Amino acid sequence: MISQYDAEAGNQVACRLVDLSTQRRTGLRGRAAQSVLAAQSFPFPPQPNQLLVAQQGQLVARLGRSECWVLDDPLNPMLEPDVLDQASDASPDCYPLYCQHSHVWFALISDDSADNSESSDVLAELMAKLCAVDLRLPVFPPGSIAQTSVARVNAIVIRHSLNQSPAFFILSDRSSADYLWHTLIDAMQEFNQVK
Amino acid sequence: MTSDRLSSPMGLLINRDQPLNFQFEGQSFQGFQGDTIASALIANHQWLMSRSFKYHRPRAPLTMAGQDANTLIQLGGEPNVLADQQPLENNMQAFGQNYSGSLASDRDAILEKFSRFMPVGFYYRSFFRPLGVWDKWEKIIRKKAGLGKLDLNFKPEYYDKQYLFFDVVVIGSGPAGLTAALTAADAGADVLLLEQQPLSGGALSYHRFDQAGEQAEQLRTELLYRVAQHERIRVLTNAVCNAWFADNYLPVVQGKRLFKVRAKECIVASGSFEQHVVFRNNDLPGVMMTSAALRLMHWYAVKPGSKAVLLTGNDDAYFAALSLLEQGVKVAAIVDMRPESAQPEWAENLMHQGVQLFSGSTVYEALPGKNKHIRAVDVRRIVDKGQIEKGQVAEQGDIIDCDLLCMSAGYMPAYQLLCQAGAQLSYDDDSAQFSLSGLPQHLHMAGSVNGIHQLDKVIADGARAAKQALLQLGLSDEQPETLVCDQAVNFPWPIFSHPKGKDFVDFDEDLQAKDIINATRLGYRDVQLVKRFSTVGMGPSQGRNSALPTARLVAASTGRSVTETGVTTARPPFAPEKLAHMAGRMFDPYRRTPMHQRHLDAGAHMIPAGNWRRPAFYGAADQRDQNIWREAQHVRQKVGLIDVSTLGGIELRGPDAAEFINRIYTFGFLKQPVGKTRYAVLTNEHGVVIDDGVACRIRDDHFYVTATTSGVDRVYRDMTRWNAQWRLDVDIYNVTSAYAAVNLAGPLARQVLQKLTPDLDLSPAGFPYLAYREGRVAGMAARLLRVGFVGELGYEIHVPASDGEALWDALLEAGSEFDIQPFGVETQRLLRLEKGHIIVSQDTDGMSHPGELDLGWAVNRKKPFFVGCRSVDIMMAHPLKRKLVGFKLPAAMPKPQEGHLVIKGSDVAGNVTSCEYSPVNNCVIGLAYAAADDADPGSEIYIRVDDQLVAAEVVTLPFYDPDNARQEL
Repeated sequence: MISQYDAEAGNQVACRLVDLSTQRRTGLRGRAAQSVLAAQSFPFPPQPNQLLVAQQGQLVARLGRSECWVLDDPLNPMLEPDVLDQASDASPDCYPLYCQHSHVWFALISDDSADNSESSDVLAELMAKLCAVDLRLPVFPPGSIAQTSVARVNAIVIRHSLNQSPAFFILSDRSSADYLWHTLIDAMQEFNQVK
Repeated sequence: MTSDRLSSPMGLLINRDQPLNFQFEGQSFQGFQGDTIASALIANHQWLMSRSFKYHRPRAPLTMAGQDANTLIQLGGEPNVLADQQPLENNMQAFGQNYSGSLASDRDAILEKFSRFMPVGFYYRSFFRPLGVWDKWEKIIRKKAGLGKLDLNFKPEYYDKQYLFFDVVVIGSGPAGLTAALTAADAGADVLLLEQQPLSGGALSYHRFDQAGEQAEQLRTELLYRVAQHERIRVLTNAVCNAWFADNYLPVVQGKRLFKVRAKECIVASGSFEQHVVFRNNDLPGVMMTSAALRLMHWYAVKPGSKAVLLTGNDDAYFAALSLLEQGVKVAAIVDMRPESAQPEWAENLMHQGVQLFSGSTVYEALPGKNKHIRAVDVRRIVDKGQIEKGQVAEQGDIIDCDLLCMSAGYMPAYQLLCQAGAQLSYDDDSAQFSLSGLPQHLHMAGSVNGIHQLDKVIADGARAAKQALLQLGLSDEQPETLVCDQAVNFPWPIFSHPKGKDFVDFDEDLQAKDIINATRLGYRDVQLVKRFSTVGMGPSQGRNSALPTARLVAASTGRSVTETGVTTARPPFAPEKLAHMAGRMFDPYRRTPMHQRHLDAGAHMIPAGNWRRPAFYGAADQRDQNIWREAQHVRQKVGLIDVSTLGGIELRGPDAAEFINRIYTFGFLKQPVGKTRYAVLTNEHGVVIDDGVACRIRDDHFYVTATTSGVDRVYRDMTRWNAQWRLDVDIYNVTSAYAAVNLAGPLARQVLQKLTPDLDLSPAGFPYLAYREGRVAGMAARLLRVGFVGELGYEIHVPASDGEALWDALLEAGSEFDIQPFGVETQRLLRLEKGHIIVSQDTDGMSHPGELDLGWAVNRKKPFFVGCRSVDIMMAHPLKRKLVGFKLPAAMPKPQEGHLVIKGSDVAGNVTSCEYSPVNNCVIGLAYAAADDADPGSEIYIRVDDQLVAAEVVTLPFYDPDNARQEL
């Protein structure tokens, strides 16, 4: 069951927080990570902190020189993490990462596609209450990744979209999931008040 | 009472359609939305708002811009609210503060009669002898000096913080700031425009720049329209930039929010503060800055008086007089301290309108009326610097009736933020003008803070500063030209001391001219020392009004120039800020294990363990001991289950994994067999034990190491740091949150586990003590460790965190026939204490080395290296000074607490680190650091428990199952 919280401004839903933690994801790192991904037809982003979308819709997030996480397409799930885990296990220079279990996956979604503009970047303004990194569209366009602190919790923040709506994906330590969920809701509520 | 207001266009801020009712000092008043409390009170002819700090003199607004302490009031439960800044709200209840009796008839005003007995430095000089007398005086003085009353029953309110990022931040939205913002935004920069007041425009919103009085409003309207239309400019009004920190990190307070602003380029267009004239009774209600009177009219449509005198050292008063006349205020006179007006035609024009002109003169004294308001001024001719005509001192000069005196001695740049950034403030003693220099890169200034006062040049200076910023941003290649302004605005010596005093330099602290001079005569020549001795500039206005006259007086008194004297240091914050702004919305992360809800369902008493929440025990909190003993007995006799998911977990993978772990931990790991665990002790470079855990060898090139709950982040950080030097081929991966773990412990543990692991051989031979196995537990992929932390047959079972709850459920269900019970971390602490196992960080401190802890067996002295090996060798070669020992006490004796001191003679030999009543031993047991010569079993150590010394017997560890038969079942 996917949890969801809608922050409403008047009668209009301004943004939503969705828990995508049940969606599949995996990760791998090591010198052979790129070749293991390539063997499974996944792209390898040219720079760390970049995201590419695979042909099948999965998201490949490069977090380091030799570390990538693969997130399933929430709208069309078809990732089989075991295949990738086994492939990395079989390669001497590649190690699987257990992000399915270690991290929760939240999506902060704006329902207004017009929000994803330089003049009205609601999500970035909301995140500015929680995160010291400049997440505004001009400096943090779709496909950007920030490995940072959100409300004092380590988090990976990805700007992407969900069902054509602007979104931030937030991957964070699962043990802090309850805290972060409620902190985000708190920020959303107040955001609407000040808006 | 009702208020009467000037007609539009006066009253830019008020909404006449929204009347608001409020009370001050219990009396009802009416104002309008957009009023401040001060403007609404003055509109109702209520000028008296506060009493001064020291002499309890009646005070009224001085600046109408929040730059003085004269309007500090009590608003509900909040003291020290600035009435000239606080927006009026319906049904507000405000009071004056710092008075005895009533604001109008303050009994403490009698203190003024004794002012000559309270000279500068009065407190320092009067209350330090005889020794201890201050303790008696302090209570009386604090009671008298208190400002307002705190509401100790207040409810916390919601304050927040937010980050903002901009290419250019412009501080101040006067003509220079508006122009700078527009210039920068037009070139493509994202601009944040900050304004401390509720409306933009700065001086354009109240000041008059031409005879007709049209230029300012036309320009303001045009600039504001362009700013409002510009999509690259965001404006924050009522927003104070309270400091400048390195790299243009700017804390901006607006309402209940603290913005943490990052600016690539910062332009300070903060303007300048109008300065007062020092003369007797310059603090009477009705004496105010010229700009304050203009603000009252233009912002709030409040007529500041019916008959005014303007005392000036520059041209401002001439245009201000026109504005006052237009609004029906009779202008009795302009008293110009200069020998002659710079613009004779303006003077002539005003004289035609009945305004008397006194050149080369000053107000020597303001005369109070019965209502404490100004009723007249005594005007004298100036014959020399700060001197009036001799022979006139005791005489009376020209007495001019008035109920309003506007002062304008000149302007002091709002230099605070710039000086915080390292700028140097200089003063030209000949021209009496200030200049600032030495700004760091990416910081610029524009407008009157930059010494530019002519309106056209102010605007040009705003554009120039923006172009400088754009050049740095790469958005322009135009090199702007520096501007010069020769308009003199400062009268060089607007200080006219009076033999009877009350010629205030600092209104906040009731400091008169003689106080500053006397401070220098007492040897405090440095302006910083004068500040500390006299407290000048230490009040809420932080020297905005007093810094310049103080510098002038110190300079003159010490025979130096103002440039040599300097002004006092401007430190953050610029304006008073609340602790709530600093604290903001509290981010207090907490962590939960996957089984958290199960613990709550089972009635666990949860306690914090670092950021984690863990069950201390299950059952009522007030039955702590009984619950712990019950759970411990259950583990000893049957089987218990504890959630140990908080344990740290680190994976080491790669060809050099064994070499790496061998260098990190004290034991030898190169030859550790696959499928075995080994105790792992971690020391730092100083040989101090900083963590421990269990290392499992999964494959030749794959280790899984546990670490303490609170220590794993440090261990992981240290590991990555060390390998940044060693460059070993190993992958270090913190998997703490990826795994959930439980410890299934007790003599029946094997039987419980066997039900869920049909494919694992759990026999003592098949899965012996300290072995590691992988398999499926209730269908879940699991890592299993044979451990003995609590001294019983035990299995640590680690599964992917997503399976944690299912594992917990499966084990409880499988164990139900064996009466399995969960137990908490407090119970575990008792059980491991009985077994004599230490907990690193509880039983160790910042000096504990392996020798003190009897961990020599876990240190491989033969291997060439481990982190801290050299230090461990050195320390263990020296005789021990203290040692961690086990002790016991009869159950009836007072139970020591952790931290209680171990006393040896007159010295402290150590402290208790763990102590509990042990049901299996029926006595109190514990661990404590004792002197080395008291460490042998049978020795006595003395523990100070509250007020008595308790003798405890040192015993051999462990307290329970010394043959280890139970854990190796």
